[in-house]
Amino acid sequence: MLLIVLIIWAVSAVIASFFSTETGNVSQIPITGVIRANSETGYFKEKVTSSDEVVELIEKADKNPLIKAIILEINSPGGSAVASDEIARAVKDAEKPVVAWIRESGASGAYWVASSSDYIVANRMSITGSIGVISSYLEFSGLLQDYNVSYQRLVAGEHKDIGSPFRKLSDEEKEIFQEYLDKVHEFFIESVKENRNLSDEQVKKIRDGRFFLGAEAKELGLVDELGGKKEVIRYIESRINETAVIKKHEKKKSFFEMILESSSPKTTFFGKDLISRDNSLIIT
Amino acid sequence: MKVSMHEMTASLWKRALAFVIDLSIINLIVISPFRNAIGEIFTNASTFAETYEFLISNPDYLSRVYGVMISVSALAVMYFALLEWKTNQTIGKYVMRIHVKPKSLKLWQAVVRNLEIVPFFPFVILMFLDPVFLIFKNKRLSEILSKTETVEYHVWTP
Repeated sequence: MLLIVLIIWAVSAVIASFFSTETGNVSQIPITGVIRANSETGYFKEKVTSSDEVVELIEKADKNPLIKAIILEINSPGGSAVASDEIARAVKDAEKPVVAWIRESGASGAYWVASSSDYIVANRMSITGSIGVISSYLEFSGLLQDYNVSYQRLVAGEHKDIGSPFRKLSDEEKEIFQEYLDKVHEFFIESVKENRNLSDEQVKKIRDGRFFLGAEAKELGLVDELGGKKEVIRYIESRINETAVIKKHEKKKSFFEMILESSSPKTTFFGKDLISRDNSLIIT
Repeated sequence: MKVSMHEMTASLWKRALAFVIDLSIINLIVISPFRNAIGEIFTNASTFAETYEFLISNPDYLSRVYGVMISVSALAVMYFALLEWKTNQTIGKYVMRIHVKPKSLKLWQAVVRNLEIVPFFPFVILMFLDPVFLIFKNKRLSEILSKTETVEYHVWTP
């Protein structure tokens, strides 16, 4: 009888040990690759961070009583203006301290997200800044002409096919595009100015869209501290007054989802990515 | 003086007390090792609403709770089933001097008569039906299904 009891106790202890893992008190959310609103990936597509998924992770971490702070681990060249703004708003709405840790790059839209956080740590060689907007595309009208292919323009609404790669952009259309780009640029600059408490003088130095190395970014007020994970943890521990135990949180795709995405028709067309036009025309 | 000993259905209070003793032992050997795994719920949420919010915002934790529930109930069934199968008694029954009939209890019988401990459908139905049968028929539904009985020796002198 006692032997059976001892065996059951031993089995309980062994099984319980598999469950005893720390949940952590700091949530680390990765922002890797291009920032987009959707999360479609595949073997032949570049890594994309979905703003929907990141916003969901930030909101969950903010609601979770176990989590005391959030780290955004940023390694992104930027992405769509809308998706970047969505994440930036979620970061600003979070009540817990949010630290942006810029690794190789945190530029453009990714910097927009970082600027909304409470504290930014970047490596001295991180690529950051790039506070500008781009919407360039390849225009194939000349190539089509060479191969005797014509573009049959059938539109209702003069500017319906504005930005079509199959015909030249008119001067008027260029102006329209430029107006939109300038507007988005102003939104971007205003956000960064407000988030980083920058003076007009400081804004003048950063508004031309160039990128900066981490060391320069610190001098310009775009980054708070140069360093890496150690500096991030030190700052967080000073804010939460307890030892930081970091747990990575990212949206895990199920096996079924991965199989579905890899067999999606889009993943088999390299060229389609070059000329595909989606709603996120404006890229920061 | 002639003394006779025969088996009769164990009294309700002896069975209840035996069960309490067994639950205490299960708390010690089965539940205690799992306290660390789900202890954070109790330190961070005190009301039902807080616990719900905690589990919803922490899906890893929720799946961990399910895992713990399944493990604990399986181990508790194992405690009762193995002991009754091998010795016809659990520790609680031994203390209260009651035991399970038939003497040559099969393993499936020992398992089936203890399935009401499992807190998942459909076994959770037994949690409600067993006491009702016990009160009105003096036998739990699980015992009827497993063809077993909890008895005690009664000594009497004619």
